[in-house]
Amino acid sequence: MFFDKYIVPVLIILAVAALFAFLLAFLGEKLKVEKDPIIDQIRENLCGANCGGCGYAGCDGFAQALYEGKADINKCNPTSVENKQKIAQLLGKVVEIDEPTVAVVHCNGVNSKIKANYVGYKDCKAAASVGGGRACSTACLGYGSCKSVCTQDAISIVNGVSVIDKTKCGSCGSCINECPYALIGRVPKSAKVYVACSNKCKGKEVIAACQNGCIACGLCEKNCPSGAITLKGNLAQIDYAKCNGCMVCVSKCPKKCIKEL
Amino acid sequence: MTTATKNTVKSVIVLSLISVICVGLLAMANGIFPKPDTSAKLDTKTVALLNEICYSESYDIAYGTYDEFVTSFNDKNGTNYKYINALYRATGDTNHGRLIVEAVGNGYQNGTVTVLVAYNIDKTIMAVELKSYDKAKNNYMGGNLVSSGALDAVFENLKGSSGNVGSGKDLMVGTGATNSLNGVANAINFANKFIESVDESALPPIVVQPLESAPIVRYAKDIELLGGQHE
Amino acid sequence: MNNKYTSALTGGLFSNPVFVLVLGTCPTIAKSTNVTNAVGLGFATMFVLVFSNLVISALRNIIPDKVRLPAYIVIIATFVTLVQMFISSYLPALDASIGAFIPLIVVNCIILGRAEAFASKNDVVTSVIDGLSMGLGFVAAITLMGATRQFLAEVLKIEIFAKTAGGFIVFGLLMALFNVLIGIYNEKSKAKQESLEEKEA
Repeated sequence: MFFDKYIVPVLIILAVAALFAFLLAFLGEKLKVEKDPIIDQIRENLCGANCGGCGYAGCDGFAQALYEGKADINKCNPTSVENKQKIAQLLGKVVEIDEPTVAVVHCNGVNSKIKANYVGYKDCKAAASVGGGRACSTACLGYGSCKSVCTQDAISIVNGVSVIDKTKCGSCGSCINECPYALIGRVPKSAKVYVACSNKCKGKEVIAACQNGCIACGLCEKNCPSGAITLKGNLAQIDYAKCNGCMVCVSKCPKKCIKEL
Repeated sequence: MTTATKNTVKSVIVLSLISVICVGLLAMANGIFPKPDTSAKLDTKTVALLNEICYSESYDIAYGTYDEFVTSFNDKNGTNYKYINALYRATGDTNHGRLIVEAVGNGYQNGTVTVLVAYNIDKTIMAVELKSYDKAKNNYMGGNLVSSGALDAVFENLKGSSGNVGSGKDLMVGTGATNSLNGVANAINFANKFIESVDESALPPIVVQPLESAPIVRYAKDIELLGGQHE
Repeated sequence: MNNKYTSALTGGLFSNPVFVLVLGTCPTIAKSTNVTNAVGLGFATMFVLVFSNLVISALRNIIPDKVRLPAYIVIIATFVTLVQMFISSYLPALDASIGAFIPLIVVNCIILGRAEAFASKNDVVTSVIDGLSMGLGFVAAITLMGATRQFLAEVLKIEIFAKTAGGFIVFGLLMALFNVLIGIYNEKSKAKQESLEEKEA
């Protein structure tokens, strides 16, 4: 009775468990896909955000592509410079590492004039497809399409305008692709200032449309000691190779559209 | 030993150990938990049905599902869906000593039907009553047979018969749910078979007990539990 | 204590296994026809969840990777069998109504899902807390479903809600409502946090 009730079930299960465990472990070894351990080392050096900015299926895919020599390490913005150099070492290559960048929204159109009331799905692309409704043709609409694609939670909507936190931004580029007016661009991470406007219209039209728009007055260009900021197409632009971060332009701009990063 | 072999051995040992411990625990728990009580009971519902077909002031269970007589009969002749639940006995002055068999038969899609068959002294059917049926599978029973009174007509026809009653088709007066009636027919046939094998003189003596006081139910198992008490 | 266990404690509410993670919907829709069934099945599942989380978390470093799944299933199945024995011995009424669904607890997504996602990666105390929280979340969800369906079917006499189609309808509506409420709460708490940070800055 004891044998039937206790020993037999235990023996049966023991046999089944042992058989299955053996099968799993044995076949697992036999059918294993060989993977060069370097791939794992490369993967460990990557930032690991899985943002997809490199164009590959996550960091695993990127590591594989790097190993196979198909990918350029500079494609990955979030990974730090020293880690990129370590990866270059692992691959046995000499790679020139670009300077790290962050994304900024080239618009500070708080209270930009509304030409038409947009009633519809609160998404920037949807609004832009029917004209956006603002007097400025490159006004940030503030519906947060960029925010919704950011995997690092770096974007927030402040006073109706999108703002990117440079400490969280990995420069993956998802928001850059998402903005319907292409307001987001990359600047070097070490940059001190950026132009918070993208409007290329003449000053008079800009004043009518927004109180923070660049009117191309040229005060920044005249006062920049290193000649880093110039006017092109009624819009100020900064050459970061020349910018030394003195921030004279920020104080001189009458419209306050050059902002500290 | 290579890592691969070491992994394999570790896998086998760990899984086997976990399985053995778990199964051991379950086997012990199986012993601890009391078995669910699926035995035939002399509850008020059964008594009410017994009163319909074979009125007596009291009844006892002559043989229940724990009695070896019933279990051996079921083992030899029954199946999972066809078996004897109990043999009741009228212990009052009225119908004193009459036997009633509770049998289960399989109907449509093996849904079970439970009937009570009361017998005359000469082992012909005195009356039949439906105790319960699988509502999900034999769903025609309720509508077509029970509430329409067709089943009562069937049972009337059976009074005084003995031996094989045939199948559902043979029982049915007119047309109806012959598949569900198969369950009834199977149960009655099985009850008939059982009563043939019952030797009345071998039955334990009757103890007349009114239902209000705790009935001494004659399970062989209970006789053990009561410390060999035979009354 | 605060941060380490809070997320596990509130997991049952903000990541409710039924309405947010959408796990374990099979018993929720099929057996939430009345409150008794719902509570019974809910607590049976919770018992298995807590104890399997405990054991799996305790053994997480010992079980080799290749036999992870078989080991988890054996452990979970053991607890389910214990529950089944208990219910069939002591609660025959419950056994009659939900008896067929007890073995299905073994493959309830919540239990295996939490075992894979949580218990195999966290220590015993946190895993048990997670098990309790998720279990209670499941009980709350299935009881809410059961109460709603029973009310609609028996008090308002709308019969469809006693059937599975009604179950799906109630499930979808409750899920939508739940997520809206959680969304509102999240926005409120984020706004509160932002105003707090502004004050500090």
